[in-house]
Amino acid sequence: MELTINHYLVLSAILFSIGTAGVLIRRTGIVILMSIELMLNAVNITLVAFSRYQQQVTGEILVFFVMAVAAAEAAVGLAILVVVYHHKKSVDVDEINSLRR
Amino acid sequence: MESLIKPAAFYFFSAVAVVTAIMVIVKRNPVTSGINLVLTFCSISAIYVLLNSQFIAVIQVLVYAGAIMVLIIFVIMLLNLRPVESIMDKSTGVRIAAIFVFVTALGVSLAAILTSGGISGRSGGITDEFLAKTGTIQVISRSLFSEYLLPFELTSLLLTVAIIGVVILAKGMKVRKKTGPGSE
Amino acid sequence: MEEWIIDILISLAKTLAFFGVILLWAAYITLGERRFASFFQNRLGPNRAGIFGLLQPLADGIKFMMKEEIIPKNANRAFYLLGPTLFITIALIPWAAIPFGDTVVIAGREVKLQIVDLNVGILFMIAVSSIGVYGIMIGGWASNNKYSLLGAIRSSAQLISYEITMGIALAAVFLLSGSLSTRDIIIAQMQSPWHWNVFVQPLGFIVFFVSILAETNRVPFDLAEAESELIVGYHTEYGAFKFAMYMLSEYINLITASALITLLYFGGWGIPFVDLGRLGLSVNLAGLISVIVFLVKTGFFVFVFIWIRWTLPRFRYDQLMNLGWKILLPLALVNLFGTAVVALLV
Repeated sequence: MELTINHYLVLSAILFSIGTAGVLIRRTGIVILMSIELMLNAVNITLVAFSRYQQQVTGEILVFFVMAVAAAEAAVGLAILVVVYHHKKSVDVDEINSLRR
Repeated sequence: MESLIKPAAFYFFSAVAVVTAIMVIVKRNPVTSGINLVLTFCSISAIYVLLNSQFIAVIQVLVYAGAIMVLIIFVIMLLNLRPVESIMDKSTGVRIAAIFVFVTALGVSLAAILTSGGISGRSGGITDEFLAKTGTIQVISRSLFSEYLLPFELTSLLLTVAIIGVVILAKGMKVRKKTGPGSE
Repeated sequence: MEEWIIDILISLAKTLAFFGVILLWAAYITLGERRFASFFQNRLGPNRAGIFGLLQPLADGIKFMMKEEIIPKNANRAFYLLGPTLFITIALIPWAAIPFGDTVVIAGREVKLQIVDLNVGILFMIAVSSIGVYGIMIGGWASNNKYSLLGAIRSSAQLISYEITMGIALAAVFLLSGSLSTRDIIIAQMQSPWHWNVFVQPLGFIVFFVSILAETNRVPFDLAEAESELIVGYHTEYGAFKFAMYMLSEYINLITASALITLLYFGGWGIPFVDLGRLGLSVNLAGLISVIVFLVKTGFFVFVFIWIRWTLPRFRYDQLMNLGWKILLPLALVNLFGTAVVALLV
């Protein structure tokens, strides 16, 4: 039995959909952040799989950049959540609605 | 022997990744979610090893499991977040929309993958044998520091901006605290 | 027998031998530490069990096993048990990439005295040690005790800060040896003792040594434990064998740190001014000598760690963070930049 690229792509699609569902149904800011990281990881699997099956290195380099962006995003996102927590004593995204009121 | 081990490892680590990913979004306690996500990242790292991309596998553990998730769990513990009562939004509309989006995203991507006729396009010639001889790091870094030098430098700029942003957010919080809540 | 069965048997034997040696060694460091501590403090230390107290680790082990298992009522049970298990597992994994010695010949094939020679060896070790912090965080958080949580938070902040410095100090070593494989780094230092990275990279070595001292949570950086202010930090609520697991893994980390210093900066199994390959010894004898040299060097650094512990006072928390971010990190960057410039010009 041989592993084809479709195996990796299906895994990536499943993980990406789970991440999307997490972003949509959860209200805790930090869990939403984690779901976004999951989605980025799913994309990374696709990139590495394409890269290896096409015998190129471009996809792996793109993964490198995605990781840098993910790290920056996590740091800034967490800093914002900490500031929000100090104001509202909660990281529930439904409570961050002072602009709407 | 060889031909059996690889698929078995793939299915095992994929199963772990999918189950822990589901745990991330359904657990009520944020710390449990976080630790499950660490497991997901570690199994994805094993998938990279199966793809013969050891450098990305190690970086995956180092950056995601070792840095980003440590930071996230650190913040959860620092804020002492308690388990939420229910994971779902109270309004039925949002629930239905979420399920709809989940099913559509999964369906569309699976259909696209399964109906495609495999990969086409040029082959780069970096075969597994070539990688075993030169090593993954050499191959990646040669390309990174020549062809992709500009994006690489821009990444360092992005990280610097992120550091400054985080420091300003944290410092701003301190100043506000000193002047008291009424003075905003 | 088929080829792959022999391969698997050899790998299995190496793994078991390595982990056996490491666990035994870690158990005996507990004795060594107490004996040296007593020596520095002008007292005797444990000397009743066996000659020179050599059976003391065994007695301690039996004591830890016979003790009552206590799990705090308000602790998160699953995570409380996961903490020490995870910590000791992660402490053992880096040994997969550490070479104990050169090669030997077993059953007609050349065997490297190393479980696996990864081409990303050192990076693999850094990655594994970076997830070691979860053992501390989970244990401290699940105990549901404010001192444990404070100790865990302090400890993880310290580990994250000093990891960066350590990584940058290591980058200069990679630059010189041109490889991330532990074996290649040692072979690059083989020519003479003046090629040892400690002489080529004195500044890098100092930065690396201080960071790894902080990474192993040893005095003067043992703020996570700080008996006087935090009781003992993240493992306050742990007793019996769970405590023993935490303690054993801290000593395993100590051996790992010493082995890393040996292989990265002190030429691994190389003997100064002696070329083992030219002495005309049989391959197996040379391999055995290389193992002994590696163990002696590593043992010396374990002693240095114990020596430092019973000599220096503890840092304050702000001093620790200042040292890490404002002194060591710039020094490491200067070192990396200087090395890169020299490597480009020479």
